[in-house]
Amino acid sequence: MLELRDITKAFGDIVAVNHLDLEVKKGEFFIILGPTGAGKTTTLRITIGLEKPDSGKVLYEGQDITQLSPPLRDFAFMFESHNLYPVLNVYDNLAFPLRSPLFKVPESEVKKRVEAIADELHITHLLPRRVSHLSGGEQQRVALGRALIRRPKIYILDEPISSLDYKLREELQTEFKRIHEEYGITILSATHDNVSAMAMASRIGIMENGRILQVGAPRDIYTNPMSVSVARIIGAPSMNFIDCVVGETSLWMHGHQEFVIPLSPPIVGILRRELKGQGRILVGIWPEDIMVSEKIQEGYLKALVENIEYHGAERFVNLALGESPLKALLIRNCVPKHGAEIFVFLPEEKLYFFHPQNGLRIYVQLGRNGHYAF
Amino acid sequence: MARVRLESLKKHYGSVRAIDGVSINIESGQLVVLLGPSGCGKTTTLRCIAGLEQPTMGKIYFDDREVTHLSPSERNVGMVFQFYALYPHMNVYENITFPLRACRVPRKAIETKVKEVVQIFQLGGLLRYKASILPPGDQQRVALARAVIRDPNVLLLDEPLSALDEKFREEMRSELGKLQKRIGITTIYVTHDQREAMALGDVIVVMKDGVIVQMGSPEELYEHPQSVFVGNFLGTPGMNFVECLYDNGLLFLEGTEHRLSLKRSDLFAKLSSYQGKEVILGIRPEYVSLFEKSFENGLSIAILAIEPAGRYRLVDFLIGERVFRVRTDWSLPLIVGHKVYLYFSEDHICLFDRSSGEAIVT
Amino acid sequence: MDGKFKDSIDKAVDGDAIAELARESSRSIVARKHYGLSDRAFMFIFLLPSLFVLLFLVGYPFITLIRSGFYNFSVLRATTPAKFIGVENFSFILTDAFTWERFIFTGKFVVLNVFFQFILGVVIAYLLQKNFRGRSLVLTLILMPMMLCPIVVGLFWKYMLNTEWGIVNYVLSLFGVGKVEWLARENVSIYSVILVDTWMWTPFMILLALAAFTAIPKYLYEAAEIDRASSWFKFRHITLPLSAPVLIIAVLFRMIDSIKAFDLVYTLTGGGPGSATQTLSFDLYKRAFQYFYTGEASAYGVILLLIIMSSSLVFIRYLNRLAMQNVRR
Repeated sequence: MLELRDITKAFGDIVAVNHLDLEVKKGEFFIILGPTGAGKTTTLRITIGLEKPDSGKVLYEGQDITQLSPPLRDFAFMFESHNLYPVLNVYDNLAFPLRSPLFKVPESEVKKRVEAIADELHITHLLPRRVSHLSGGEQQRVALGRALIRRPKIYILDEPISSLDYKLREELQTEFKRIHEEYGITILSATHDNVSAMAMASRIGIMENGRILQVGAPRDIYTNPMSVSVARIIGAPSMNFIDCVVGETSLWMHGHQEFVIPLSPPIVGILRRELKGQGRILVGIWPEDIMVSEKIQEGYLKALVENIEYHGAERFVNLALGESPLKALLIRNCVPKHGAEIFVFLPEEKLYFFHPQNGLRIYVQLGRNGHYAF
Repeated sequence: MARVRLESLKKHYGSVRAIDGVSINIESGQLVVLLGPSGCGKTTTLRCIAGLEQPTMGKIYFDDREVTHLSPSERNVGMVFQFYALYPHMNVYENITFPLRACRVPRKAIETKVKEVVQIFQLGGLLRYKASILPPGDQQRVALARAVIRDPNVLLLDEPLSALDEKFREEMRSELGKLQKRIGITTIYVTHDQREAMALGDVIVVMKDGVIVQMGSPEELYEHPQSVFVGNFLGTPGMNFVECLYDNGLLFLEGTEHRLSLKRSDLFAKLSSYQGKEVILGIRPEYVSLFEKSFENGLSIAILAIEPAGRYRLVDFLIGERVFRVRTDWSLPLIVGHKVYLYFSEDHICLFDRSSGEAIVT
Repeated sequence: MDGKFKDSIDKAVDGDAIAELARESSRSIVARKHYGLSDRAFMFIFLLPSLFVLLFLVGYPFITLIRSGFYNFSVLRATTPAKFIGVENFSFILTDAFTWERFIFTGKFVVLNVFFQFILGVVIAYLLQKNFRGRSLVLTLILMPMMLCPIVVGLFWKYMLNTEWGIVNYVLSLFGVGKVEWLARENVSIYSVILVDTWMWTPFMILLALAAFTAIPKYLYEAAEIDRASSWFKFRHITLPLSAPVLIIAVLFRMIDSIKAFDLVYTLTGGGPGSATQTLSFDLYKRAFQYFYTGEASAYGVILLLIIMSSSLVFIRYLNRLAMQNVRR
């Protein structure tokens, strides 16, 4: 439906968007996820037409709309700073898009639709109030209402909820998902908040330094990240990375030959082939995949407890494995103390291997279900 | 390092009661989190401890010395402000040595101290950079270094992570937790983010409207909330609530045909005065299990939405008017709109008074 | 969403028709048709009147000024054609001993004047930062001199400083001080001029310094308080460096104004005694409008302009450097 083809945009020396390709399908909730400064907002602004790309094309249903001015694209957008008109009341803010000279909706019709949308979003009681007197969450709802009041081709949302406190975020996250599904609309959004991105998106595009690194369903990216950068951006808490060395028949931590991670020979073979012999490698593992024990067991490595993080439904322990910091999910009955020794096991089938220089994944398995791709 | 004691602290601005009787006892080396929504008085409490505000009533002690009326500089506290308050025109070195230079510490002593904190906070390459051009994460480390460089009695942190990206915040949170344990300094941490509070706090003090609502270890607060407010406020997502009618060991869930028969005998005794009355059932999302097949005491209901969250997912239902969330792994194949059966783990049920929101059983 | 609602939305926003429009016509034409005027055209229409005024009130006189600097010409002899004499006007002025005296006097006046006003301005602004009762009244009173007409200020100070019957000497006599010839003695009159100019223009310094001080965020002082800094340490390491850009601009303004000082001097001393308090501008005025050496005065004006411009440049360079240092990434 919407396609960005080989888009590049630079501001002076800074390349904000770098040969970016992206496709949003009809009815999809597509979220660009990346850190601040990744070029997310610039990408959205180019899509809307507020910014012209240096090269590349924006296509809408196959037509080139790169040079079209924003109102003619008929995309609705909602910015991080909600862009409401502070001097108008909620009613007039909601009615604003309908009163545009482009559409000429009769006032009686405007009234009907403002009331309908206000009812939908539970903000009817706010209609006569000045926008500047509303709370953050209320403003966000009004902004959402203003975006929804027209029936544009696509909704572009920049950080729609990340400026709110997390309780409100949780609430609106569900609201967005509901509205997306109920209205069957197409949404392109951008955020740095991986939790809400995962919860809301049909597909996620991981973005860093002006490039899209990986596109896929949230769960697919989580179980199958293509590079170190992707794994860093997607998880909460992040994946652990351990600097290791591939030897003749085994794998050990760099600088600690005594910390051996047992691997089956075929996997060592693949790694040696990829690295062209012995060498450094980056090993990744999700915190929930590390097995933790308070007693020493076969194949377990000794680590020191730094502190415990309580997350309500679960607890994580921050460890020092040699010099490597490690975060692991604790099972219920395990209650280690600060400074205590603890033993960890890194199961082979849960490991991800990354190239030490470019950070790209070295594939030794297809998924997390144990099918090796030899 | 010191113990900190607040004795019925009050701060009124005209008729507004920002803090209205707060008493806390903080052990030496503990990390205590003041948690609450904006306007609950947590920042005012912190500013009173720092000496930036004078309390209207009440007393503040560091160890056994009363400091209530001392100026900030006489209290020897370190503080990290919400947006760090680094001196923008100075470089990192000048920033972190400011507290020492201000007290005319000799040059040699400054150098040794700098070496120490540079090592702890990994500021090695940054010393010559202007503080204002650093990325927020580095600014935060500089602010921390500046706060601890002269070994303060207490470290005060005012929402130190709120200026950071979501992802980065989580990393810095772990860093902060480790550092605090390593240095072992008494720390008071203000935040509105319960995830930070739970991850970092030895003790959490939940505040609302200027008073303490509940105080205790994260686990205690999470598993045994004394009110609907705390149950909802803590947890990602918060506790689920369902309005119920209690009748002779049975809970009739409003908005459903379902009734839950209670087996725990201790519940009966506490619920005896609620016979025929309405109560609120509270249960954490992870204490509800999903099943495909029907069984006794299971609630049959259609799935409203599924929200993936990495290693687990949240499944949303609608009970009455409220969204009811269940946290589950990826083993069951679930489809939106299909019916599943919910099972409530009775050991983890909380019951609240409908009108006051206070806990009956937790 | 109910069907009616959906219908009405579809009717109001006929997306297909718009897409059709875009397809048919070239895009830029579509955009222009739509707005009537492009943003660029709009910009020019708004700029035009001011451009016009600027051209005729600044551009034309300026070119005439430079041109007549190279001619022997007087407006009194408008019928005699102006004679081109090259750089003779400039070389005459720059080799004239009298002019050099004026340069030295003006230099001395500017340096002392700006110095006193800066110190006084910053100190008073610092004291006025704190909130106290009647602060706004004090502020208003302090700012008054700046709002008066310079001619009036010059005149009433002239009377107040009168040697025989001026109030200043009267007050001094109460303390047993003898009569001071404020305006009639060469080495005293320069300080009288500085005194009056400082009285009148220190408020400007105060105003800008106060604005600069209040722009410094309060939390920096709180942080410094926690860091156990003394008041002087805070002033020296936070207040001064952070208000430096504004203070420099204020100094720049006062400097330019002092170099051009004329009106006060004219009414206060009339340039006297003798020519002791004649500033460069005063000298220029005499050549242009008393002797009507129009060509020579034009050359004089150009020189003055160059002086002001080059000395401003030093400050602006420094300001830019400050700005560069504080650029955020």
